[in-house]
Amino acid sequence: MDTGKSLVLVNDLIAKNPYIEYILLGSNPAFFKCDTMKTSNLLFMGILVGLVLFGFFEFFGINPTYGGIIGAFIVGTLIGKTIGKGSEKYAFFSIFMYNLIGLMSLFLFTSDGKLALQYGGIALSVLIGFALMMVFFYSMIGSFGAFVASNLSRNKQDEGL
Amino acid sequence: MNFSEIHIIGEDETFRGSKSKYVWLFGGIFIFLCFLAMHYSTSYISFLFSNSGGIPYTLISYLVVLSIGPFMVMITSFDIVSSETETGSLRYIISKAHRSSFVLGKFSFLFLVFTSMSFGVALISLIYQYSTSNTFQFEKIVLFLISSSLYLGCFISIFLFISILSANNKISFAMSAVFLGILIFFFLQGDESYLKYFTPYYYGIKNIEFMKSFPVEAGYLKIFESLCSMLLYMLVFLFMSLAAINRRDL
Repeated sequence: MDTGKSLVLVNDLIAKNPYIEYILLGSNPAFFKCDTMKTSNLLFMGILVGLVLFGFFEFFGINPTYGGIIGAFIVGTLIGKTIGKGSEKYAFFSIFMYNLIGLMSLFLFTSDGKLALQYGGIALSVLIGFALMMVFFYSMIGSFGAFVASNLSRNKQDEGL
Repeated sequence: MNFSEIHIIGEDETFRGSKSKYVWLFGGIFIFLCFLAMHYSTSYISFLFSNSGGIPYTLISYLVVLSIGPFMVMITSFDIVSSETETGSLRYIISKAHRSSFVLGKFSFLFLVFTSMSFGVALISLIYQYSTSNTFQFEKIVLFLISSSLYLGCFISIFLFISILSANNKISFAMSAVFLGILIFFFLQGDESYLKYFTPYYYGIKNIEFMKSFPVEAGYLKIFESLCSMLLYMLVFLFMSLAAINRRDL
């Protein structure tokens, strides 16, 4: 059979029954590899976009709380739109990661961060604890954004309902 | 959207729905909690209000509504649509009625329960007021009734929106709790932050000053503005819910 025709046939089958792809491709490791690669690439893209936004907000001196929330919402929505159902955990992870990387860079490569690290003591622990708490909330916001974006997307046949 | 369909769905949910008894029970528990707060305020904190003309029962019950109300609404409404989605019964309903009518019927059921609950609390505080000072403060009671109904209505529309987006009850509950956490986080950012405008808590707390001294200095316009902002907030989430149910593939 022609490869193009067989592809059309398989796509048609998958569109009719989403579980058939597990039956057809379940034994093929290449399928799983492809799926894992897609998710990891998207996570990497999410972290990159988040870091760019983080840098942008820092550069223009926008309030870190507003910047964090807007950045988390944008990244969460992007991931939710791209991955679809079940994207909440990926959004949470990637937002947590880019915020951690951004904060670590701030601490290590800026004069204010170096000053805080040199000062040490309880104040530094409190600062880090507060920063982690904020990062957790940003991740929650991004995760919610991903949830809304993934469920508002059209053409998701037989997903959930 | 069809009003007769909304009426049928709302009536069915109120009197014959599987969740109906459970929601009314939670409404009753809520009234009882408000009653307890008013009762114990008479015994324990009456000395705080000895110079200000008696205990402000309306204010006390409003504070209970502000603090416990969102959680009560969450418990009763997180699975209002997601349970139908999970069991698949939504497809049967959608084939008979319009999607918007279904959502509005569900909303009207929950809004009716919580408005009745506010009415019950208002009645109890009116009785307490009369028993302690032999006066009726109808303006405060009416204001309490409207503002607490609208405040709870905001949360109903939020959780309805989340429930529509969720595929099952577990996701719906988790996301409702997450969203409540986000709202509390926004509200805790302080008075200077613009994030407070995204929370119903801000609009609800703004009404406390009207409960303290009713004909407020700023006049009725300020009260009207506050109530309208809550109504607008509720409508925004309700329209988002309608958009969500119309966009989803069922």
